[in-house]
Amino acid sequence: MLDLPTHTSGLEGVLVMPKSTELRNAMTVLLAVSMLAGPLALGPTVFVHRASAATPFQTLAPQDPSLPTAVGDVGPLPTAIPTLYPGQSFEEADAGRPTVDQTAMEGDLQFGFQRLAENPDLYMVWMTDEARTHYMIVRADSDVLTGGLDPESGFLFLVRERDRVHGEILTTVTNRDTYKSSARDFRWGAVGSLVVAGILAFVAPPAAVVFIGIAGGAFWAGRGQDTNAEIQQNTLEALQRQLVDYQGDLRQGFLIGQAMESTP
Amino acid sequence: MEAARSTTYRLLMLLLIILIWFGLGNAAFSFAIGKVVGGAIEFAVSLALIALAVEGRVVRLLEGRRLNSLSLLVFAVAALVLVFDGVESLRFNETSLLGEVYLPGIITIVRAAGEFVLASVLIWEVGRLALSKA
Repeated sequence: MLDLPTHTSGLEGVLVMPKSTELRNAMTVLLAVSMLAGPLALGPTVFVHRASAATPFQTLAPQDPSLPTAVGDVGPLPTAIPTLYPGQSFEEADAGRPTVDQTAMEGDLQFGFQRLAENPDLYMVWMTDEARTHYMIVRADSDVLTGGLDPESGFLFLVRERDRVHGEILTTVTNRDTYKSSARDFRWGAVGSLVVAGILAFVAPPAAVVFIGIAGGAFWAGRGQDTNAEIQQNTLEALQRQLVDYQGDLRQGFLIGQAMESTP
Repeated sequence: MEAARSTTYRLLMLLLIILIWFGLGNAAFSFAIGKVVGGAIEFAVSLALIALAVEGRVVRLLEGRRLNSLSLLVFAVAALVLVFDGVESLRFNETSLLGEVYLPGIITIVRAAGEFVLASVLIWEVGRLALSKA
């Protein structure tokens, strides 16, 4: 059976389909192969210049260097914000060290800690040894800060205790000095009474005896004040030893924390 | 007689200077520890003693009289009290407190040093007078 030409209503006289099915299939295969083989065979020669293909991609230099940029002037570059992380250590002179805010810190400039304004999950702790003050960044739940299983070894406890001992030392010094001042006033009175007694001894000898008695009383009153001052001095020395212990614990806690935080 | 007068005058002036030094030292110490009222009283008494020494009438009134043995004994005891006060209050390790300079501690050292010097002069003068009497 012969295939008759197919005529469609819209494309009548324009598209004439082959009559043979074999021929139609052969043309379809030829078209499909040529779509793949054509660009592969002719592409490099026809569409790409070989020398330009070897040249790396680059932008063209402007023909007129004085041409103003379309975007406009570039604004000032923002300052790089350093990233803080737990275990990071600083020395006093380091430029990138977060500043100590004396209104937000606990403790003092020698021993203390403060929450970082840059990252509320982090704290900065610091301690002072014989050489200088050292700083370290720790997490809010760090053992350095909380003490871990032993809360009395953490900065939170030790710094506050150190503050308390500081206050007690100042009070004790004031008490001691008040007693000392009284004792000296009494001795001043004793010396004054002796001077008067010495003068009276060659003007009116009987009256001198009275002033000698006053001088003796003043001297013993001064001794009483000396005793009180010595009691305060003993308390003061005990507090100073306690302060040294707390400061030693703070230094040790800092160094242990530094070693632990730096271990990956 | 003139020599005795002159020695008495020197001794009385020295005793006044001792009392003035004592008083001014106490006043400075009181001000340094914040006891303003106590310091003001001590300072006022010291000023009165300075006025007494500068005006000089009391000293002139007494310088004509001869010192007796009881006077010398009492002045010697005053010198010992002075030395005792210096030894009792002198502490070289109190010049700083909590890492800062502690002014009352420094005042104490200066005052005690002055007391030792004045006590030495007083003992010297009393000794000379005692030897001259003997």
